[in-house]
Amino acid sequence: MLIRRQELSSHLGWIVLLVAGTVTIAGVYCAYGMGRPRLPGGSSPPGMVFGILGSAIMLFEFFLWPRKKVRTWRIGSAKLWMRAHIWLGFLTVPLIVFHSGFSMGGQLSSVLMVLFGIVIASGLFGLFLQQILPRLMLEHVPAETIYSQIDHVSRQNYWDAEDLVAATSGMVIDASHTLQARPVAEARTSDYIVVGAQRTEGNVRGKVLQTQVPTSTSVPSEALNVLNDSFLGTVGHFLLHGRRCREGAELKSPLAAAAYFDNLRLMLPQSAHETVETLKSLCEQRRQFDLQCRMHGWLHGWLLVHVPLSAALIGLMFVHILVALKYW
Amino acid sequence: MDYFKSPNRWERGKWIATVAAIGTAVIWWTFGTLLGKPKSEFYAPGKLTSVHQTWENQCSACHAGLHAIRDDSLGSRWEGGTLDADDKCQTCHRGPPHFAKQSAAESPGCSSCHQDHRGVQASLLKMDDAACTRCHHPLHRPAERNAETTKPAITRFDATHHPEFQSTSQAPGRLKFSHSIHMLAGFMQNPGKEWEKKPWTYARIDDRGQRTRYMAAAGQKDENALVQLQCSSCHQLDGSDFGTSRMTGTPAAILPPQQSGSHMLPITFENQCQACHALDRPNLPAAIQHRQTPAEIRLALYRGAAHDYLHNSPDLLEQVMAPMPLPNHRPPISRTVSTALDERVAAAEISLSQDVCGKCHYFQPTQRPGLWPVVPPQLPQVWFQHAKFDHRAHRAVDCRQCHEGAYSDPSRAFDDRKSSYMPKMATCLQCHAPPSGKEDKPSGGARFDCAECHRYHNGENRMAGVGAQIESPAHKLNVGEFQRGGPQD
Repeated sequence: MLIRRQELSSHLGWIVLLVAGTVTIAGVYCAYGMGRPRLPGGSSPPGMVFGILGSAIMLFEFFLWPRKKVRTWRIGSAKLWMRAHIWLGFLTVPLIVFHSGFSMGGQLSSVLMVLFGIVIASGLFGLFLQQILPRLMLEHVPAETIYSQIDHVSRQNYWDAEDLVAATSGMVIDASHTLQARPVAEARTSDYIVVGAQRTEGNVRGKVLQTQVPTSTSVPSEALNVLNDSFLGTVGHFLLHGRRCREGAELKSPLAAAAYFDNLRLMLPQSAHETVETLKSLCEQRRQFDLQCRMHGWLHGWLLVHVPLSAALIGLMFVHILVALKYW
Repeated sequence: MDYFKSPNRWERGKWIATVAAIGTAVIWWTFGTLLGKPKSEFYAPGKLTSVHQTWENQCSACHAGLHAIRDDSLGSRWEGGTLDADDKCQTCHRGPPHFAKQSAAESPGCSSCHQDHRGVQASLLKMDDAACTRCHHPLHRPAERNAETTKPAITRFDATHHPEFQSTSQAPGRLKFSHSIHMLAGFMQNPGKEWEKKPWTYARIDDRGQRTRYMAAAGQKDENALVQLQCSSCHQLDGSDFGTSRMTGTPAAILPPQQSGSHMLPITFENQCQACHALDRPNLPAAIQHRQTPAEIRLALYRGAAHDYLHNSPDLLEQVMAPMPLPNHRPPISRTVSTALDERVAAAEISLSQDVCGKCHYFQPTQRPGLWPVVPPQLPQVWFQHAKFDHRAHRAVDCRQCHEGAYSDPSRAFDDRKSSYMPKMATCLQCHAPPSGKEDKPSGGARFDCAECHRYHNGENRMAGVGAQIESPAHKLNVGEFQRGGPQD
């Protein structure tokens, strides 16, 4: 969740709750523990209350996951849930620390405390990333698409480029002249080629559809072979697999790619230059998809720690409750 | 357009990791609790102390399921205490209360002071001062204390928060004894005084066993050397260190074979005084015993004097006995012997009063002339009445560091009654204080918490009085029951 200055007022109540809660918790703990031979632990009256509150909040925090899965539940907006998740999550820190009596306890409670620490730290890390990455993505990935559709869109781009190269060079697309066989549904049916390319006009950048009339094959055959070889040997691989492929390694960097296409343009006649520009643009898109994948990984990777350990924490928390009540 | 229905690889990864994390937790818990791992290690904040290691995996030996064991827990509030858990403790330890009239409401639970699960080496007797000061802080009543010892509150052991030792500041009993003289070679303080004209040499000790003992203790082989006593000549932690094994009539009854070593053995006439202050004086008609009453002594003296008369004047036995005397009339012959005996016994009593008993003891004057009853010395065998002190733990320190006054000082009065040679609090504070000072002059560092010196359960006499009544468990256990932590239900 993005916490911007403009939206601070919507968080203010939660922040006040967090600060007031922390001060109250510390005050109650100190008042109770004053003059006692040892620090009040989890079984002391304030410790027990803190433990109950903390575990209740943790359960609520964990409930965000099913809440996200079933968005149709009419139990508060997603924003409200997220705010509560963040700020109540912070409130569990003083609750659990004072509940523990500043002691790690036995193995079970130590593991619980470590899990709790990791969950809190990973949540903080995720919150930090959410303040930065979406903004960076907006700036550096104007061709952003739905993450799970990147492979599909990349194949689509490849087929568009393949049509364009075939139209330019007169190459026949068959099993030996393609890197990715296309399904029947994707077969070209019109005389026009539509390519989704990225354009920049002033401050506005975005993906636009370019409609291009297939060019005639008036280009010398040697030059056409260069275009075909370049597409099948380098550009096509890069369009399909991006930075993961070895064949299109020289296209991973924008500078190297610019040099590559400048060189390609020199070897081709004027009539094929527009095709080269389009291929260059599609490669730029592919680089942005790669960047989007990396950012998506950062943006969601922390959840691979946060969510599973939260589940383990909740499970062991119930064990801790049972044991603590038996031996308190 | 149903791409959103199938999870992407991050979503799949999240599920897989969640299942893996939960599975790992379940396996860890299962293996941790069911397959041999000690439960205490798994659940408890630490191992049990060494004396409770037998029950390391027997949680139920001490914990009454679902009943609170910590007296500061919410559960104990609900239940009105930790009675069930305390019962478990008292299966083996029936600790007497703090004082005889202590009510149940005033008695904290066992765990309020004795907290286990703090490691094998942890001491159950070492606790925070707050366990004591939470009651003793408000208990302070200045009106009951004299001006010297009045402190604002007893909150810790230092010069401002703890009163001066009261047990050791009192008059040291009713006995004429001078440590100063006895620490001098030959006991010669003022050579001009008549009774000190002749210095004490080892040769003057009549009993051969006693003479050998004191010579050996001083490393002396010359019998004509002056007697030089050391602290250890009279004060020992164990009876076998007196070197009395070769003596005839070793007072074994007053020197128990095994001692804890925390306190000096009691001073007894037979063990420490008799060598020089023998009671069998030649001018007395009979030998007397220590601790005899005046009546017993008088009877012994009469018997001795009568024996002497009969032995020295056997013609007395040939004299005709007078008829039974009338009331208030004695026969002449009896009056003559009686008078002689009376005179002899009276002289002996005067001698005893002045030179023997009266040398060390005070008398309680009575109407009857002669030997008066002795005032009980009332020397405390343990000076700290409300605290413990372990001489064994301090054996590396020279006696003079704490008992400076006991050493020979010509300017000091002879009579110990005028001052106690027991140390003041400042002596203890040199070490029993927070560490401070520099490397070349360290200070403090030894424990200075309440429990270092004070005991809770019936003070220092846990096995006496109320302690004796309650210390032993009500039900004796066999070994199997003991290892299970109590009798089988």
